[in-house]
Amino acid sequence: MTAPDPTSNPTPGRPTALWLLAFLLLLALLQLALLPLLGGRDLELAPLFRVDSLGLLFGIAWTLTLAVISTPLARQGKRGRLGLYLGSVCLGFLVCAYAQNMASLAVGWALAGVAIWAVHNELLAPAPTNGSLLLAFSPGIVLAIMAVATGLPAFTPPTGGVAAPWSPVAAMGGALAVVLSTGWGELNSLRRAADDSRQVPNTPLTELYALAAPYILAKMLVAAPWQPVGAWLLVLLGMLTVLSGVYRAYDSRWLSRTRSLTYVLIGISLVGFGIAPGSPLAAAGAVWVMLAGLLRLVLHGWRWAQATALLAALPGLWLVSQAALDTGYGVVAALLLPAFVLLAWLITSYTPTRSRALHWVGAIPFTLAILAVAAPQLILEALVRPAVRTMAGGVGALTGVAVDWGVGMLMRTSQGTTPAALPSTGIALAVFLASVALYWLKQLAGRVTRPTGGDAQPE
Amino acid sequence: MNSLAGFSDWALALIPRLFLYPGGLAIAAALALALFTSRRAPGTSVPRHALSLVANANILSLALAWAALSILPIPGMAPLPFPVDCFALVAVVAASLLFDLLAAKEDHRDEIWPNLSIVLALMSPVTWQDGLMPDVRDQGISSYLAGAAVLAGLVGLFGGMRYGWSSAARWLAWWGAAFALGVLPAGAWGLATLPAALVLGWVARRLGWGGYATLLAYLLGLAALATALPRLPG
Repeated sequence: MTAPDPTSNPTPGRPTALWLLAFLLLLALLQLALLPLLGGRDLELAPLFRVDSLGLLFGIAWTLTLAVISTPLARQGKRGRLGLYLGSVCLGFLVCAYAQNMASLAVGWALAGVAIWAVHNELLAPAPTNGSLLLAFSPGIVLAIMAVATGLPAFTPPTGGVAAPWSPVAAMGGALAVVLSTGWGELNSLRRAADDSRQVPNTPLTELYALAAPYILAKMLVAAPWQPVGAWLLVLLGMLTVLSGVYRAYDSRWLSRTRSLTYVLIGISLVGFGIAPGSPLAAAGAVWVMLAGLLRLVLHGWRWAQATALLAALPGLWLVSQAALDTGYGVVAALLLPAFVLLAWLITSYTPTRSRALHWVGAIPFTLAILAVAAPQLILEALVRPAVRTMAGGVGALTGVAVDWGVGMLMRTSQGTTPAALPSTGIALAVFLASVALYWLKQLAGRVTRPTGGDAQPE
Repeated sequence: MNSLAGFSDWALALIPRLFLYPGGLAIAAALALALFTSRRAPGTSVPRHALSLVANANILSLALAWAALSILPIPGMAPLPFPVDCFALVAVVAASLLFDLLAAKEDHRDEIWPNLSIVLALMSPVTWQDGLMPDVRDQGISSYLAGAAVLAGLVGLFGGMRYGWSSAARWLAWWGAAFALGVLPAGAWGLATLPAALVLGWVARRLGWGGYATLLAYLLGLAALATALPRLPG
């Protein structure tokens, strides 16, 4: 092993990283500027793109997430083309976010997958093989087959009448694309672990690819609902994914445990989008959980990142649980919370791993996560409700959930009963008051118990 | 009702609950329970031991358990201006353990399993309900099984309380949640389960039967879930 040349630039990829960051932030700003311009309306750019609330929400969220996670990656590269690949990842995600039909979605998804493969090819040793290139293409291929088989359906709600539901085969095709998107990074990691005894982590890009995958189902719901059999299969697959994620958390390896959270979030999203045609609460919950997963990625490496993302996902889980009860999936509602808390306890329990401090950039997602827990009504009204409204072809209006701005959220039935209530802001107030009281009690007790005079121990 | 009125109504109802009854009383009782269950260093007086428990408390974890104790919809008490469902109650107590585990300097994963059995037992009645709000109607055999599972879980948990005051507060919060959510019987019979769980927990701790009690809690919880299946709507 040769010693590094002291005259060489220690961070050769720094200019690339800065250019990439500027490019991604500009893209995010451009999308943000569309919000007031559109004023809640959709913009048809047929036959390829359609700008709506759902696309804008995830387009902005993915771009900002990429800005945070890809800048450190760009610094590691020695060649400028790494920046090009990372930019292509973002481009692929944006094509997906604003896809007007299944063909655009397939192209965007394949582009994102292959660009991530190319980034890995640049950064990781040993480099991915051609076999893993095929795996990276596979979700896009599945979507392309679906596009041809279903006659290039457009992701637009029917202008009148009721949309013909997606067949169970189409629903399973969407789910297969989600599973392949999740499994690609996993298989790649396993192969490299087999080649090299060291535990080489994937880049966070594969996690983003996996966490974004349920968006395929959200896009399909913009056009039409599932048939009951398709919905049932999606719920079954989602619960199996949740349980397999929890099972993985038993693994003592830290890498494996953090990855299990991704599985569980994807599983909950599958359940949510599966139930969504029966209850729009489920669609809201699924969108919520997907956003919480992005928070974890942005806070990656920080000791409190897992706990923060887990807490931020809880209101989404609450929405999905109530939706499961509304649609007759009582066992799903009863099992989701125990499975989720078991995972939370397992992945946050003592791990002898070093953790970095929270970067100043992390303050923004951390604040968002705190808002999601302490004032979920803000996130629901500002981000989630407009996104659910976009899925008008397959999901009804989100009228069941009401908001009390000062206390929290609650469900209302047409008979006027309240089947569920989550006073998050109220509970946050209780926790705050209790924390203040305990802080002073602790200070007081510390003063009394502290050794004084000759008994004092040096610190 | 505007948002400020909703918030002020909640705050006015919360403060006496938090600092007096049930939260204030329960958090003091939890300290007494922690004194009883934690190991005292030789030569340390009881007041000094109590002060050391307070000084070493995990603030966030304990505050979450205290908040859960304060918002319990206890039968007979004036309800809060905004209802609380079983998901919220269970999630708050579970988050309390999350922060204890996060701050732990050694592996305390053995405390997870009895807690999980209680979560499973508390959520199993949801299966036959229309919503997440507590339903205090008698649900027959499923209800009894869920109640028994919570009691067995509490007995199993008694032996493994590692985090001092916050563990004890969580133990009480689990019992209170089971009582308030209708998993344990209402009235005197339900109240009698608290001393019963304490005595059985103490015996199990002395005999080292905590693991068996936890296993029993899982079996009863799964049985409660299974007996509720035929009642699924649709």
